[in-house]
Amino acid sequence: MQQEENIEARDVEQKVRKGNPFYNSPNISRAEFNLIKAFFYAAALWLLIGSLAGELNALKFIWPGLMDASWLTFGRIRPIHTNTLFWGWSSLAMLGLAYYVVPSSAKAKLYSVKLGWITFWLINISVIAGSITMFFGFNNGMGEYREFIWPIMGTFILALAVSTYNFYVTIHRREENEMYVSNWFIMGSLLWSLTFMIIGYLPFYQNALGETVIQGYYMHNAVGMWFMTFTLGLVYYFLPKMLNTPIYSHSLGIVAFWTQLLFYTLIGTHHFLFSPLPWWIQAQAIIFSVGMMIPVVASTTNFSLTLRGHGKTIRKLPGMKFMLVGIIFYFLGSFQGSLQAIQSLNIIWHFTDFTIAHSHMTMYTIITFLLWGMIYGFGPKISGRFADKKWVDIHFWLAFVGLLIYSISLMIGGTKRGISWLDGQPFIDSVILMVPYWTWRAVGGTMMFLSHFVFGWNLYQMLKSPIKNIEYETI
Amino acid sequence: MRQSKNTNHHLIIISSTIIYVFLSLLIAVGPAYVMDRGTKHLANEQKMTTEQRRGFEIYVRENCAVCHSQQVRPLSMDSVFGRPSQPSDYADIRPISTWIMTPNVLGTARLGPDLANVGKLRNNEMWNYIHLYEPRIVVKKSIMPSYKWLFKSTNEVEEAHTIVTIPESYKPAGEYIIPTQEGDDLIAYLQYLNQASFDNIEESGKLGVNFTGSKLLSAIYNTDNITKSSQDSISLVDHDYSIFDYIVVAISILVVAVAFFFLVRAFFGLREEQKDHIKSKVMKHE
Repeated sequence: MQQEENIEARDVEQKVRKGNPFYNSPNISRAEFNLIKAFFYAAALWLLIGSLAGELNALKFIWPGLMDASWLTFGRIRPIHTNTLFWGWSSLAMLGLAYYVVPSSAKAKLYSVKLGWITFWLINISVIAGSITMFFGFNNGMGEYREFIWPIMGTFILALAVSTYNFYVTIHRREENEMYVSNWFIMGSLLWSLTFMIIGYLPFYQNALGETVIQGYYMHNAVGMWFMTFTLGLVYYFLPKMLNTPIYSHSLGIVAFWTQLLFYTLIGTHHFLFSPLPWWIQAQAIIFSVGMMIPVVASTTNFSLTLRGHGKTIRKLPGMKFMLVGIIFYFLGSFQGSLQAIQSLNIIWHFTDFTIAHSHMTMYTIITFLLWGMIYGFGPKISGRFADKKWVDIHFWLAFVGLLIYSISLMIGGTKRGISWLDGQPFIDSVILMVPYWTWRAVGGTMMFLSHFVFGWNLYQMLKSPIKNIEYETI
Repeated sequence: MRQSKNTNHHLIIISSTIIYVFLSLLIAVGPAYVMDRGTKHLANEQKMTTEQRRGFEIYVRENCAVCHSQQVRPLSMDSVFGRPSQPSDYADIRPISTWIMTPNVLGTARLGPDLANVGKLRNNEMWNYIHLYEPRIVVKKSIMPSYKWLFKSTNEVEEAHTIVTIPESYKPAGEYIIPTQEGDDLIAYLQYLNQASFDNIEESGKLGVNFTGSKLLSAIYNTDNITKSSQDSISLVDHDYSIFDYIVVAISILVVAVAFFFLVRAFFGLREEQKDHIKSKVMKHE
């Protein structure tokens, strides 16, 4: 029985590989394979560390006295959770994929593998240093995602600058005349991110409420310009490749690019509605938050039309389920975000756990799911080994069901809490009413956490060693 | 060879970055500069003492803003926490050191209650000490962490020490619990969090916002308007919007409409694009 399944699984692999020239040869050198593998392994490690911190946080809501040593207190562990997953897991995974996408879609050789390794080490050093300093309570002033002090974030910024230079030269030396839309997104994302990170850390205009204006801008641009824009660039490359079909529309991709640039930049203040910031800056943030749906609709339509008629590949190719869910949630999560920026709904949801549900439906179900999908789709190309489909499915269902339990319970609880405040009930009542929802969140969170071990195992199975007859390019 | 607009990667990459920098200056750096330079104290507002300042550093170290906001919105549901916050309340918030920048005290979550006015709402010092040592002694269902490392247990008590009245079951038998310097500082900071009243608005100037920067920036960002929005916060009714607000809203809606037009145009062009796709494929084969 077991054997039969194995044979069937191998047949699927054979068919997928034969039918899709993407899997014919790795198109990279052995040195590049090693670099990309290092990026993925380190990313997976940070994913485990970051979600371990998240798991501990979730349990502290049920047992507030749990592990109450100073260095494990909620206020210190929470930024470790967010920052390791931002700058450790997601950033490393994205860059690892980009080290293939940028040269490949430009039909050029990667300018320098060595600079790639420099990026790799600088990022890891900054995340390690950032986590250690935060255990000691040495954070940069409580602003979310800005908790690394400037020398540490400076290291991260330097790492991005090195990669930007590496990619820029690669693109400059390309043979292909046209620049594929992926590279628009990736290069844009890198240069814009360098800009907002530097603006976020320069001190000259950040006294008093100046800091709050920058915090809103920084927070939103971190997710919108770094993670979302970069991941979109990767999806524009991998989705068509994995399906063996061209992207449905290049021009929709370009509309998405320019509107992404316009709207995501301007809506940071929607994190501080009804604050003492000037009214006009809040008003425009609300209007552009609605406008933000334009790049979302452009990209999701494009992806859906590309996916149309490929039901069989979605079912068979490991990783495609992640892509499908990621694309659906790109629409749902962004739509939810736009709703949260509407004043009348913001009154109920702001300050509650609804925000936490939203951040997980976006950073997790969009960014992380898409990254997983692309890693599962890309790994076999460079090593010749598919991950065991059964274990990829276990990973998928654990993560997806866990996420649904997590976010639905917090959305219900958050809404009830907001209504309780609106009714003028005592604050502690709103804490008590949240307890069952926090418990369910911990259940969902635990499933997500466990799924990350499965991912680590699958990644190791794919990349541990390339198959024998694989042909890497020689330099 | 077909020449297309996409060819010039310098143009795409650099022009989009210039646009990005421009938008960032307009929406982030500019307003931040105005709020930075333009925010003044109310006349009757107290300044932080050295001890309170040290307590504030502990507040930042323990990252209290992850759960506690210091931002009362001009909404009736927030009135339990104090009067609506306004720019002058934050005038004293500066970088902690060379390494730690201006802290974000406003916060984005209320896992616990707002603290903007906690010094007035919770003015019993002993309650605060007990609560900090173990919140569940005084608030049974609290989920706040205990901050025991801001206290020490001892059996020798000097007169200067504050002995925190902790029930026997929560501490080592026979020992006394006294706050460390850090604990004292943090409580001092929490007691400092008192919203200054608006009794002598006239003397205080325009609610703490008094723009002293260049005339040009003042015109662009219309600082009168900042003052007005603060006044709105107090009255809770009747927003008195300036012409500048209307212009910003109009431009924003216009921009969204134009972008929407391009989206629709791309949709209508989809079928043509598909035909081109197929044509170019056939041509390649030939």
